[in-house]
Amino acid sequence: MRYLIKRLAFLLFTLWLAVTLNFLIPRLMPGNPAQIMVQKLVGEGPVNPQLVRAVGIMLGLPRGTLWHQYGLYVYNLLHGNFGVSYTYFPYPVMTVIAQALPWTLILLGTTTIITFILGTALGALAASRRGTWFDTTATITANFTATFPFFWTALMALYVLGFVLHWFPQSGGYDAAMMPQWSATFVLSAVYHSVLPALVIVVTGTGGWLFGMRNNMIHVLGEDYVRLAMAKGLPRREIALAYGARNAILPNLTGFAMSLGTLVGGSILVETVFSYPGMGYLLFNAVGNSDYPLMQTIFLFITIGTLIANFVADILYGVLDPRTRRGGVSA
Amino acid sequence: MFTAKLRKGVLALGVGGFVLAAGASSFAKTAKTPPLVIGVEAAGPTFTANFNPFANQRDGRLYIYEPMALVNPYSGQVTPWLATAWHFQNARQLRMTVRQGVKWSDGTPFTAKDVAFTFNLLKRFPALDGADLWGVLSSVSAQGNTVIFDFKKPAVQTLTEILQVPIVPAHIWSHVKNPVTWPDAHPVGTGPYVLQSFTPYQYVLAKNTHYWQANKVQVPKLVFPAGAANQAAQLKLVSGQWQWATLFLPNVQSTWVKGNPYHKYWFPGGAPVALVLNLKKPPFNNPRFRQAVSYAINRRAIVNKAEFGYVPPASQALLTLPAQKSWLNPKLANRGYIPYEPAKAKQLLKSAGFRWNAHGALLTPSGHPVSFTIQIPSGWTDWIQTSDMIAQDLKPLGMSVTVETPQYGAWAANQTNGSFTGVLNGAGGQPDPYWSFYYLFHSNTFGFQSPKAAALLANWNSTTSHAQQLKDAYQLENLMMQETPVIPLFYGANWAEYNTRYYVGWPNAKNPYATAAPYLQDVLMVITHLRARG
Repeated sequence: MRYLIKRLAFLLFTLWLAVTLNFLIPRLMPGNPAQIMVQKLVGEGPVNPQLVRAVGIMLGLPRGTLWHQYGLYVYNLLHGNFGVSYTYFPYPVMTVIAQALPWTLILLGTTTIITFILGTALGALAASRRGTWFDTTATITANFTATFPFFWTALMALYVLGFVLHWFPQSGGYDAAMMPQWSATFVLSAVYHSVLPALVIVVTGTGGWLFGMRNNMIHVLGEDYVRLAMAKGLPRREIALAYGARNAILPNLTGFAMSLGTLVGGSILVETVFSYPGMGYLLFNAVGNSDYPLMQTIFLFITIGTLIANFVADILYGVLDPRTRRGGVSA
Repeated sequence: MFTAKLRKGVLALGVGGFVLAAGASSFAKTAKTPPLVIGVEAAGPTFTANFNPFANQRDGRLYIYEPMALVNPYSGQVTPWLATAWHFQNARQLRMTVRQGVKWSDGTPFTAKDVAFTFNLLKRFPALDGADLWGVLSSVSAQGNTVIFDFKKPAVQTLTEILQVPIVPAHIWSHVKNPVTWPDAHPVGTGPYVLQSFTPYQYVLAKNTHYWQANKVQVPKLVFPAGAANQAAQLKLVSGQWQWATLFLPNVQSTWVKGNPYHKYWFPGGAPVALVLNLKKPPFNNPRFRQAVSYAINRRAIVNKAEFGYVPPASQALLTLPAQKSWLNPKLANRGYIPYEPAKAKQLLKSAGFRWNAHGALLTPSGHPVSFTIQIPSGWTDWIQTSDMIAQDLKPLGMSVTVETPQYGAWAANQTNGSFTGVLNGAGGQPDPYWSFYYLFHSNTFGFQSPKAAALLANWNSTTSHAQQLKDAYQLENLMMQETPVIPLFYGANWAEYNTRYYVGWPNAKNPYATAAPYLQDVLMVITHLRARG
């Protein structure tokens, strides 16, 4: 119980710290957002000061002392009011995020789970059959797929499967002429558009899990207690799963929790390459347009996601590994 | 220039050369008047419906809402549009006659009341008043088919700004609670097009059957796909999926024009890009020093190398030439163009009391070595190259010039705070030269103060006589030459590429009736000039 309270207190403290930093950082950046917005309109040209003034009023730029602004910021945060996006003006940040988040959660959520399960299972299998043809093939293949830069694999897939063979659409989350809605044709279109990015994520992402699991498990299988189990004549299968895999999966599980946490931020590479309407592309645009309210909120989401994932991983660790709960006892 | 910057940003990320984004659905290529696909919407991958004409969001708004008159962004030439005529009763009152027989796209007649309503809306919501019209207006009212603008003080030059305000229907906007944040997803305007369909990836405008000059509109549909800042934009343009775009293309001859007689472009030079020195600090406050710098810069070389030869060098007169040549003082030597004459630069410095030490470094009359820094927003590669070339040009004169590239925000803030020695920035470039001079001399952005200029501007703004306005302009141009408050280098370009396969009649250097860029208000001129290829 004390462990839980400690973790919870830590979670709340880091959350407050993140929120405060999130408030401060954009305010430390030089420049006037209204002027930056006008500059986006005119490009490399003179900026009309009168237009900057009007845009400043339009955006409702913060006024008052820093403390006053901070109070207002926390108040708004607690009420789920994250302000108006500069890029997608006049839509509130939450509306814009609500449109992008499902796409990212579905695409990245599904593929993260698939790559984790696939990679871990293959890694465990490779470790328990160390030295066999399966181990060799899996390791070499994973070596290739995991070390290719993501965008290279993505562009090759786009070129071959999309451009040359025309099996899949080259970009977008759904057909350009369609409006997002709950209809069979739309869902089918969305699924069809997500196959190529999903495929690329799974192909490039599985290798990492596979290596982590395989190496951990080989290490664990070399431990004395495993040797004892073997000597006692326990079935191979039981040794591999109950002794090897259960202990070896711990680091991978942390990694999995972390990747679920950062999931809300989307994947900038995947989404920009495939013009996918998710959080990654949104963040990319927000940064490119100095859209501080939108950037702040996405960063906040990522921070909260990571913190909660960390918290859950800590709790899970405590359940899986009693040593963590008591603390201080070295392995 | 707008999209060029965005594109460079994308290039810098290095995502790669051939991202192939989804485009507009393919349309029958056999049709004689197919939809015109316009690659101008940089938002990506998806966008939101916002056709509010004051929000500067979706470019399609320009084809839906119309102003009282179209002002050519370069020459300032005015074409009556929703107004048929206007005159100044005196320097404090403007009377404008509205066009008869114009209807809103919902069928309601357009009247002078709509015009008065629009201007009073700007008064109630200053966020919509991007030109600060109510800084000088005292009232706007409708009288029959006339709109009367009363000014607090003589403000003749505000006419150009008034003419460009998009007019909105009173019968719809009077019910809008907050027109600043209203996205206007179902716009009703007087323009040649209405919104037909909208999805987050593209929207389609169809011809407005109520349009007051419907016979001039031959393009039945306009398609706006998202993602014009994308890597794929160039591919789409070249492959014919897009027919009109605004892209910076290096080697435009080989990448776009070559091999296809229908592929055309026009990159007219617009607002001058200038070297600005901090006029509050010595030795930059010395006009002869600034003139010497101007003579020492090889503009032709800069234009050819940093700007791919797309734009011409700029005149010191601050005017956008040749578009504004009617405002040019005929007595100006060489039309205000400063030639590359390092010897003259040296002589000017000598005459101003500058010296050189034993190592060849330039010293101010009080004996300090001359050095300064040119700041450019990071990523504006052509400007960075320009500054590097200026630094090289000034080296033989014994000046040590360094180049810094802060973020845009910091670059802008440094100018506001005066914490800079040199920057590159746009100067002038307004359709009406009055406003070019006004922003330079009056708003005091770069720390230049001149009572003479202030008097000339006040006189220009209070006279309705064109001859007198010209006289004032000539004197301000003389002041530009004598004082050299900024050093114009070259004219910044508007990128515009168009495909003449289905439609002809585009603006070009020979027929510059409008700019060819698809994101300015004068697209209304272009769209009413396009004809189906016979």
